Amino acid sequence: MGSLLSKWFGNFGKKQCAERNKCLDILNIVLDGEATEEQKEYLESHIDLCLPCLNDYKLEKTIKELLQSKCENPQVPTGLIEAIKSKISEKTV
Amino acid sequence: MRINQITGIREKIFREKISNIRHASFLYFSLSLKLMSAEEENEQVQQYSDNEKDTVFEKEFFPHVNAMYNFAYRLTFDEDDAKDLVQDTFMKAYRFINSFQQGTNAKAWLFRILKNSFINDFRKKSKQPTKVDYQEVESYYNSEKVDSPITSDLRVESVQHMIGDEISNALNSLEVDFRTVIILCDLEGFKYDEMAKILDIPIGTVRSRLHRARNLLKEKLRDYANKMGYK
Repeated sequence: MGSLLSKWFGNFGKKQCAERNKCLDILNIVLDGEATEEQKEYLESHIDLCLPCLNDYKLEKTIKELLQSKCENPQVPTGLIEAIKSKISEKTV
Repeated sequence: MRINQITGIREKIFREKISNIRHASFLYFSLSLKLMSAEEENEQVQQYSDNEKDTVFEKEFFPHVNAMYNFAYRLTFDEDDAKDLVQDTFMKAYRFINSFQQGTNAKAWLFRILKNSFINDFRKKSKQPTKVDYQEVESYYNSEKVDSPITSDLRVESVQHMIGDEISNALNSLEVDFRTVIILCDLEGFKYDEMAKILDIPIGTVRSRLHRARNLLKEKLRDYANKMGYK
């Protein structure tokens, strides 16, 4: 039990994950909604134990959400569809 | 004598190929669109009547006009250019409409035409010189530097403090190929296999390009965070 605890704390408190690139890859696949069950399970059990990867997960998730919510879309020019329709009918007449 | 004849024929074919290269690329483009649409439903290519064409445009194409304009704008950074690019895309969609299978993924089909128009027609005449030699970019970004995650920390809190401009500027400052995968995946929500079709690259390349693009984006965000004194 003691050794299990120290293993847990040892893992959780570590500064670097030895497999960070692999984890980063998998957590992005999960966030993109493309993960297999196996990958999801791996990530869940891994970030329970690995603080650096938990932070990576939060960071990637935050960035993805910000991209979706804060990237202001340009104003679509009014009458664009009408312009397209008239261009098409010009060509086809 | 025989060899000479064969060589002669090959040269002739070669010359014809050169003169027909525009036509050939047109045919290739049309074929690839057919494949893309037909693959999904595994059905025969159809012929649309004028009425049916109108319906397809109204019901399946025009609903994506805003997303297409946003994509075009983030590729060109110019309102007029973006508008031209979207119009060109719809003109091509009209021309190639028989390659589109109704009920299949219209958005991906249109994005693919848009992206091809941007590369084939637009980059050439654009005011900006083409900056990206793709091979060069890919090999440069294949280097360790970009693949290894950022060690100096970008914190969640720093990113949360950022307003839209900073995120948007960071995205816009990426090279077009990296910018594109982030737009398609994170802003437009395309799946990897759809992105592979839109970009004409294997899924593995989609994933590795996305991975690099995200590392580059984080580097930009970290620069902003440092400059703003978050930390």
